[in-house]
Amino acid sequence: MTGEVLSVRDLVVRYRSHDGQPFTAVNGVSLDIGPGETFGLVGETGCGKSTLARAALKLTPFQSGQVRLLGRDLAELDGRELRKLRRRCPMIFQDPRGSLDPRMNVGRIIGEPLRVHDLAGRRDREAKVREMMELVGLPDELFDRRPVQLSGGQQQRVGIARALITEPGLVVCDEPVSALDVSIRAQILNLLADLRDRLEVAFLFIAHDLAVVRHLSDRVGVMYLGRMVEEAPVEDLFAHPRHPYTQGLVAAILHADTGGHERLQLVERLAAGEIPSLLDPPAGCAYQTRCPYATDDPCRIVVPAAEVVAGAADGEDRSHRVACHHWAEIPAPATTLEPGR
Amino acid sequence: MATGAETAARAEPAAGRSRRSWRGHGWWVFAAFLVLMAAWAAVPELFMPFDSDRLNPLRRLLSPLAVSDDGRHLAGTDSLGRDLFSQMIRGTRLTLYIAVVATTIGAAVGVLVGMLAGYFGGLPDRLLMRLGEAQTAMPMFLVAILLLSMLGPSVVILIVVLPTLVWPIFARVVRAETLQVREATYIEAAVATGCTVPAVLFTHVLPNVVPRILVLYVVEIGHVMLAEAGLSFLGVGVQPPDVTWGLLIADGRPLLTVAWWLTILPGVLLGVVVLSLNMLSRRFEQYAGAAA
Amino acid sequence: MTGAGTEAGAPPLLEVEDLSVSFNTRRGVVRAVDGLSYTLDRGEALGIVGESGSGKTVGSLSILRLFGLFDDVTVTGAVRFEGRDLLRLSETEMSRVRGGQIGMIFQDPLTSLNPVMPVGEQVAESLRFHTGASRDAARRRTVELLDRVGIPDAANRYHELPHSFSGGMRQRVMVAIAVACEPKLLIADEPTTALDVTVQAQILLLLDELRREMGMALIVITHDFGVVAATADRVLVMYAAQPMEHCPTDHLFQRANHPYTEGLLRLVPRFEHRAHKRLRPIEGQPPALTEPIAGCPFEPRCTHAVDRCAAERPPPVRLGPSHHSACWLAEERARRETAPDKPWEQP
Repeated sequence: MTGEVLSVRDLVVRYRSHDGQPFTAVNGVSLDIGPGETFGLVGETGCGKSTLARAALKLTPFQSGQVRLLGRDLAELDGRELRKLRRRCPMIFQDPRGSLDPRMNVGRIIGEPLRVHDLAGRRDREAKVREMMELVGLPDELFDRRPVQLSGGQQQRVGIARALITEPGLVVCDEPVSALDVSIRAQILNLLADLRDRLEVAFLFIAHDLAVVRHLSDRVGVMYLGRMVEEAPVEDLFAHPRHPYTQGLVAAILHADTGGHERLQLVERLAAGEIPSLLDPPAGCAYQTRCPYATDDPCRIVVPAAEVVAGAADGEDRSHRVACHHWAEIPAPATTLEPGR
Repeated sequence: MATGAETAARAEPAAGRSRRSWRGHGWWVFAAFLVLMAAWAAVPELFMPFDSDRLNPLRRLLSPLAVSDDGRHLAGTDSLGRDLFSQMIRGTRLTLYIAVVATTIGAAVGVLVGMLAGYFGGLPDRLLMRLGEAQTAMPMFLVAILLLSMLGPSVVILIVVLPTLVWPIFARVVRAETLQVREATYIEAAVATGCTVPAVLFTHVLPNVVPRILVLYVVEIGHVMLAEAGLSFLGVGVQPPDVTWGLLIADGRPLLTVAWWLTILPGVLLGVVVLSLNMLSRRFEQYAGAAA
Repeated sequence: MTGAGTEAGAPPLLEVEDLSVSFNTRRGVVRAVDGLSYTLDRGEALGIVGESGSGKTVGSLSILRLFGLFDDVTVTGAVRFEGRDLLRLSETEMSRVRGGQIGMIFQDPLTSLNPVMPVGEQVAESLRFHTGASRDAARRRTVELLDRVGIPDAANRYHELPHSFSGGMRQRVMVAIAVACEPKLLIADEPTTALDVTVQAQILLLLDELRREMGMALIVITHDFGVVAATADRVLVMYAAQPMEHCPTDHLFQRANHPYTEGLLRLVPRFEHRAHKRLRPIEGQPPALTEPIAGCPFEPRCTHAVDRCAAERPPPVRLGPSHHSACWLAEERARRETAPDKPWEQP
C-alpha cells in the first residue's frame, strides 16, 4: 500500500542463542502504519515485539520479508542512505536513564541528532534545543545538567525531545513508560499524545500491557511467540477480543474495581502455564500449549493463518484480523468486558 | 494514630562510618611530589645546586651530605666528581619524557585496538586480541633488548620500542570496558539516531571508558619508566652524554661496594616516583568509581 | 486504634505503631518512613500502595529489620508481632522470626535465589533451619511444596539450578521458600512487577489461595492498585514516607477520600476508560525526603490545598470503622453529596 509510513510484509528474524542454537524471533509478521497513525504492539517477554521494531529500522538484520519505511525499501538502501533515513524514524527507549549518555549534558543529548546530521549551525542548534525542551516540559535551567541529576520523568522527556527534534515521520517507542512511576507515567503518556497530535507523527508503540497502549493507539497488534495473533482497531480489540490469548491479556488488566479475584481466575483459564521456549516452539498454533480451546486437529498440526473477522468495518486493510482456527466458535468471556461485580 | 509508649531502637550500630576518614587524604603528598618532579623536568636549572657536568677530581666519590669547597653535596658525588643530586635532577626530564611519550603512544594504540575489538566483536576482535596475547606470551623485554641492540640504541628507537610493552594491557582493559558500554541503551540510541561508527566510538564509547584508561595510564607510566631504566641499565637504552635515572643506576653499579649511593639514591627516586604514580592512580580509580 | 475492628481482648497479629525509619547518608538524613501505624489480624490481607520513595518497602522490611546496605539507620516506634516488639529482639531471635513466623517474597526472584544451589535444596534448607526437620522429611515436604506452588514435575526439578527456571517459575520457588514453615505472616514486596501479565495473574492467584489455605496474613507491597484490588482486604496508601489513607479495599474504589488516592485512582485502568481518553496526571514531582516537610507532603501537588496544608501536618482523620485519611479536608470531602462518580474522566 502506498503512502504508508511503515509497511512490513512477512518479516522473519532469526537469531542464534548463546550456545549457537538458531531460533526464530519474528516469524512472518506483517503490519502497516499510516501517516499520523499510532500502532500499539503488545505481547509478553520473548514475543518478538522489540525485535520486530528494531528490524523495521534495520537496527537488527532480518532474514526474509520486505520492509518499506517512509517510502523506501530497506533492502535497497546503502549505509549512508540508511543513516539519513534514521533521522526521520527515531526511537524512545524503555530505560530513560540508560538511553542517555551519562557523560553528556542535556542540551548536547537533545541536540545530537542535529549535530550528527549537520542540520543546524551551533547557535541555531542551541535555540532549537531550548525550544524543544520547552515543548516537552523541561525547565530551561536543565540544559547543562547531566542525566543522573534528573528524575526518571525528566530523563524520559529528554529522550522524547531528542526523538522529536528532527521532525520525524515515525517514532518507535519501546515501552516508554514501563520504568516510570504511576503518576509520572500519565504525564509522559499525555505528553506523547499531545506531541503526536501537534506534530502529526506516526507512532509504533510497544508495550507489554494492554492498558498502556489503550490511551494512545489507533490500532493494536498482539504478538505471541514471534507471530501476530490478532490485530484490530483499538476499541474493537477491547470490546471483542477474538483470540483466546488476547482475551487473557484483556482480562489480565488489573482494574481498580472489585471482582479482581474472578478476573485472575479467568486469566489463568485463558492463559494457563507459561510461554514455551523459542528454541523449542510447539507444532501448529504457537498458543496451543496454553489455550483452553485447542484441539488436536488442526491446532496442534497447522499454523493458523490470519483471517479477517466477518463484519469488520471500513476496508480490508483496516480490518480486525485474527490468527486462530476456532475464533468463530470461541465465546466472548463476559467478565473481560463488564465490571465483575 | 494511636499514641503509644515512645520506644526507640537503634539498628546495627554503624561499622562503616569512619571508613572514609583515613583513606584518600594521603594522596596529595604524592601528587605534590610528582609536581616537584615535573618542575625538575621543566626547569632543572632552577633546582640544580651545581653544574651537573662539571668534573672535579678533588671531590670524587664524596658520600651524601658531604661538604666540598663548592658546598654541600646532598647525594654525594660520582667517580668523576660530579654532583649526583644535580645529575638526578638533570636526568628527570629525559626519564619522564621517554616514559610519558612511550606510554601515550602505547595507550593510543591500545585504546584504538581495544575499542574496535570490543565494539565489533567477531573476527576483528579475535585477530586483535590474539595478537596482543601472542605478544604477552613472548618475553617482550628480551625482544626489546634484541631490537635495540640490532637497531642501535637511541632515544627515538626507545620511544618506538617501549609502547609495544604496554599496548596490549590498554587494549585488554579498553576492550572489556567497551564490551560493557556497547550494551548500554545510549549506544543503541546513537546508532538509531544515525551516528556513524567513528562518531559512536569517539563521542559515546571513548568518554565513557576514559576514567578507566586514566587509572591505567598513570600506573603504566611507572612501568615504562622501570622498563626504560632496565634497558638503559643493560646499555641498550639511553646513551651518554644523555642522562636518565636508569643510566645513573647503571653507571654506579660497578662501584656499588665503594659508593652505594650512586645506585641506591637514583633507584630510590625512581621507586618513589613509581609509588606516587600508583597512589595517584588509586585516587583516580575512586573518582572513576564514583562517576560510574 | 487504626485498622479493622478486632474482637475485644484478642491482640492483633501485627501492630505497627508510629514507626519511623531514617537513614543517615552522606547527603544527609533521609526519612524513609515517617509515623506509620497499622494493625493486621490473623489471615487478613493488607495492600500497601505507593510510588518509588514512598516508604512502602522500607516500612515493611523494617518489620523484619532488613535495611539492605544501609548501616546507619535510626528506627523509632514499635512493631509488635503477637505482642513481642520485633525491634527489641536480639539478632538470633530475629533470624528465627524471619522465614519462620514471617515469610518474605521479593520483586526479583533471580537475585533472591542462590544461583549455584539447586532450588529444592534452598527450600529444604529453610525448612531444616526453622523446623529442625530431618534431611529426608525436609526433602519430602519440599517436593510437596514445589508441587503445591505449581512447579510441574517437582520431584525431578528439585535438583535444577535457578537459571533453568523461567521468571514465573522462580517466583513460585520463592513462594515455596516463603511459605515452607507455614508463617503467620507473608510479606510480598512487588511480587509480580518483574513478571509478564498473564504470569502475574497466576502468581497473585497462588498467593491468594495459599493465604486462605494456610490462614496466613498477607502484606502486599505494590505500586499498582490493580494488584491490591485482586488480593487485599484493606489498603494503605503511602506518599513521601507518610501514610495518606487507610481503608477497606472496596471503600477505596467508591469512597476514596484523600486527594492523592483519588489522583492515583484516576490513572488506574477502569472499565469506563475509553481509548484516547486523556489521563489526568498528578502534576509535579514527589518531594525530596532529605528536606523537612512542615505540612502535608502532598500539598505542593494537591489541587485542593488550602493555606493550612503547607503549615501543619494533617493527622489521620477517622471516617469510618477502618477508614482513615490524613487530610485537613477529609471530613469535608467525606460529606460531599456523592463522591464524584467518574473522577477519572476529563471534566
